[in-house]
Amino acid sequence: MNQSFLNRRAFLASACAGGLATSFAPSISFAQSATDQRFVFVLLRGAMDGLHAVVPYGDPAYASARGQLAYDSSVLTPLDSTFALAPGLSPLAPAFLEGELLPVQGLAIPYRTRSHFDAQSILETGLDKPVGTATGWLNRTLGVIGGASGAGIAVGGGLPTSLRGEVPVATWAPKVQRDGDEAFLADLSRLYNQDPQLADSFTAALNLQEQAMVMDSGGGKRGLALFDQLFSATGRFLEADDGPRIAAMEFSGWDTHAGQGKAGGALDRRLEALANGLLTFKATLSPEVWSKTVVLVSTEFGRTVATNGTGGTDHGTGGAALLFGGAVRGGRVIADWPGLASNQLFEGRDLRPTLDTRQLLKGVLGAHYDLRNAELNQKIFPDSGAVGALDGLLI
Amino acid sequence: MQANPQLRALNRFGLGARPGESRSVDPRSWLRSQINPAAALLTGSDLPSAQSLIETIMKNRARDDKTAARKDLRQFGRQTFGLEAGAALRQAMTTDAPFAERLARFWSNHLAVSTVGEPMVALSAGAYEREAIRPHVFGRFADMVRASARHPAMLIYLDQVRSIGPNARAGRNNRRGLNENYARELLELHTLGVDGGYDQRDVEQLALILTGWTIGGYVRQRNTGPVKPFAFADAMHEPGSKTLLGRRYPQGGENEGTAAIANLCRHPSTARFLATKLVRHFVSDRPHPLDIDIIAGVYLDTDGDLAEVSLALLDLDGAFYGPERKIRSPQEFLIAMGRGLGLSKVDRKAVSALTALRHIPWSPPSPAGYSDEVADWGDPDGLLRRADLARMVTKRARARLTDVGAFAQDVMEVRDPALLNALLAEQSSAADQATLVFASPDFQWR
Repeated sequence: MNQSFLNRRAFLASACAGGLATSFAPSISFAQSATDQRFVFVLLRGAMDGLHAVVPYGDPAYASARGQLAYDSSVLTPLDSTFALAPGLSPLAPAFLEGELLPVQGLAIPYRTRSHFDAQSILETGLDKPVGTATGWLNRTLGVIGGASGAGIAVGGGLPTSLRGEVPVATWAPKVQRDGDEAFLADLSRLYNQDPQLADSFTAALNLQEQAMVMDSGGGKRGLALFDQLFSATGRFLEADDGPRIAAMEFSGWDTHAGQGKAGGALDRRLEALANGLLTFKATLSPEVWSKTVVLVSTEFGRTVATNGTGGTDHGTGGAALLFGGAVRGGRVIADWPGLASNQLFEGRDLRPTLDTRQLLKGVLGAHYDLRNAELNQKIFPDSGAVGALDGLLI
Repeated sequence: MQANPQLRALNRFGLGARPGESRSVDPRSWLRSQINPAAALLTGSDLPSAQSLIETIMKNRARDDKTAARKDLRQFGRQTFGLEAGAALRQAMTTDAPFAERLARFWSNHLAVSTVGEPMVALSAGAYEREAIRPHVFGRFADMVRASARHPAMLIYLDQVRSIGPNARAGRNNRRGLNENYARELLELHTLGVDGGYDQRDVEQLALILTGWTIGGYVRQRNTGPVKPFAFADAMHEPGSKTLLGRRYPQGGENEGTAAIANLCRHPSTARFLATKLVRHFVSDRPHPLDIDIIAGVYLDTDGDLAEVSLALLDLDGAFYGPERKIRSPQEFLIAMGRGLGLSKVDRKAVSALTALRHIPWSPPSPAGYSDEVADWGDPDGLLRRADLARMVTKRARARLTDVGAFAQDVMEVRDPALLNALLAEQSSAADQATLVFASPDFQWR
């Protein structure tokens, strides 16, 4: 190791320990972190059809209301007398039996919109109306639990709104093969330290780079193979002793306006990739870490109950979510089921929402991180005191 | 840091300074001279038209060997996409009217199609930009929206091609034939904006108005006539009058949609929505309300004349001197490096690096198009990947690099010249020096 390399390494360390970059050093500071609990928020962008995932096969109106896209019950995995897992989600059936999977039906954000972008904004900010510049509830959670910088990570692409905010977080995506260019990066970090808007971000990148170098990501995957790759990476990040504790992931491709398909169709294959990704994630974790882990899979809204004119579904309202993890008290379905008969639908077309997404989020975060009501109702979900947390979601 | 109006003109409104330009350009007159319809076209190429693409698709469909036909079409799609993306990149790196090119890219992204999950869009996205967007960059916005609505790439991307009126002749045997995807995005993303004052009923009425707008000969058994990029299929059109935003549209076939688009484009909410996006794109992530008022006013006063609107952007207070900066998108970053080095193309690897930077041409994750804000492009992983991309580009351009310190000052506003020069002196080659310049934070801003 030559002299200048050592000098630059030393500089890099000091850059992390002082000045603009003080707040970033995940691998150093996390050992003192306030929590050992793991939480993953998986956002399915584009509005995953909840009725096609957690299928209300037992509703007397199901087949007639859904029309062409209604599943034949023989291909479903029943969970109780009303709900069943879609064929693509059947890999998760054992987890349901073991109490590690908790599907939720009839869920919606607290604001009625069929705009993807407004709905995603509300889901990610945790507010009750769209505010373009707001921070995310995941980041505010990090703030409340005293998560050091680097305790949060976005896996797969960019920094989603849910993780934006005051606590610095990392982003990671596969396919980085940098050879030993530490000296160059040290020079570059001196330039970035001069830039008030980008300095923190660049320092976070360097810290994460050290962790990522030990991970063999096997090149960037595309399409359905991405699920497994990103879930595997997230698992490895969360497993590490000094790694992050809260992760945000996202997958797009759920906006099935046409050709949605049934068993083995376009949406079902995507659900299967999701299910297998979740199982890969579990397999990546040690039993001890798994027991402290909760994954929430959510989407911005549900889709129309009836099949549209092009074999798909249009933007709807009530939707489904999945809780998965060793800390989840599953093996049942949570739903205050409103029914699918035409007089039971919201605006005559959508599943009527019976649960505010924030009730679910509060129930999970409150139990997982042992939060006080004031923290949930003011800091994480501002002015949401009227919205109660769902109890008994976790062990 | 003192703003440099020449560099602002070249970088903020253009696509990156070329060496020497910052000393020779008079900012406003240079930009004004580019407001010329021909400057926004992509010419000098033999790229396929929508007509020929649709013919290719239909010929392929008629083949008996379905599997091989599908494979061939995919292959043809990849080739076409590569040609189109290459041509657009070359034009961006070499054009003498980079402001016109920026506007073309802005509008193409505003009325975005995406190849994500849509092989037919991958095939036609380039043609869409050349045929539906570029001819109208300095024309009327309503003409651009109408051209977009009639282009096969958009018709396919937002499912309009198969939307059928429930009471139309072709719809009576189905339970429902309507698909409201395009109608919703036309209101929410293309014209009024999400808070523009419409509701679910308006979405459905607009969807009914637009039924029948399809591709000729494309939808099986729908009697849509000969193969052509756009056809109005009366058999798919919902009969009767419709009411959109309180205005009644009497039964009028294709004219209903044309009139609805014209009225949507004339709406004050559209003016504000477009003004906000334009000011945000060119001036600041937090557009100033006064700037929005000015641009929206010009838009309404000129009935959506985009040449006048483009001109007005150059007179905004913050345009050349304000403290606000905009981050370069990954594509803009790649193009700016190319222009700085005088390249007319970059190698395949650099283009595929745009995949890692999540900025593949015509492939935004949703019909909202790509963001242009630092919150989306300044993330940790992205900054490191920009450094990777810079290294890839400079590796191929070694011979062109001489005095990199002077070059840096010539193409970007340098925050701390002494520090930059000190660090440049430590690099072991001109290529490393140029990599440092391109990877530096100062080069990420425009």
